Amino acid sequence: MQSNGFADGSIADSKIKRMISLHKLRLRCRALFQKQKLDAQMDDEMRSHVEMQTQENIDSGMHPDEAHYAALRQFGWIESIKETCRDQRGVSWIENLGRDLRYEARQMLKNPGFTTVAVLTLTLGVGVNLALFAMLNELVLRPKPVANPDELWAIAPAWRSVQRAARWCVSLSAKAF
Amino acid sequence: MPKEKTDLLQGTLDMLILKALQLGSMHGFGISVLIRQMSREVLQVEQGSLYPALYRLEEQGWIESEWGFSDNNRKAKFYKLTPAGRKQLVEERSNWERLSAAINTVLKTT
Repeated sequence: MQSNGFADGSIADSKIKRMISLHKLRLRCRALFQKQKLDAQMDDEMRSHVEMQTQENIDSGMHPDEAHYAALRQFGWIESIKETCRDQRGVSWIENLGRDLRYEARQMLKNPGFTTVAVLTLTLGVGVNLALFAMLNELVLRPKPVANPDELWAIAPAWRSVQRAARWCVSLSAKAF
Repeated sequence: MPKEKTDLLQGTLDMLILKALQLGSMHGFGISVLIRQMSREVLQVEQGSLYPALYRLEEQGWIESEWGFSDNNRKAKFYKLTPAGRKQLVEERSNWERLSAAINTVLKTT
């Protein structure tokens, strides 16, 4: 065993890291797309553990029936253990997200009134924002589409408030008076 | 069966599993038996911690698994150390030695 350790020690760290990232990616894809197969394998694995425990119990002198129940007791609450094992796969957040989205879709279908109001509010909000930004973008942020925007003048009445607004509108590219 | 069960310290189970697998590839049941024997019946690994730990270690890339047959020809999933796992074991071991030495020093202070 020791000689094995030395042989592996010569592999560069970066190579190990790359291998592990690849390995994780592969495992996660499998966890997402082959969930049923993985779950079945987990079932098999735990069943085989219980069988081996049963055998050990029989070997230590128990009656076969009793040995099986004892093995199950020794194993613990199997469904809860499986759930904890599934959580180790690192994709439970994706599964939870999917479940949440499906739940939300069902809730929205159940309350069409609320859904309509929410959608309209969002639409209006986004629309108004977009319109305001488009206006501001044209007026203030972008240079005016003329040859020498520096020499552009804004002409406004003598009222101070209007002057201020005009100056603000052309602030980046023109002078006002 | 141990008369006095000692709870495993958080994080030490991973190290013990890696150590057990350093001795050769093994299935879950074998690992729990081996840890019990190696600790002279003091440490009893609960299945509820063992299997989640095995799945976690596999996800980390420290161990890998393949299906095979046990001594009495029963289908079983065998785990073995990867090169990364070997490295991890060395690291965890030196951390553990540092930690336990420090704790012992504190406890021995009179």
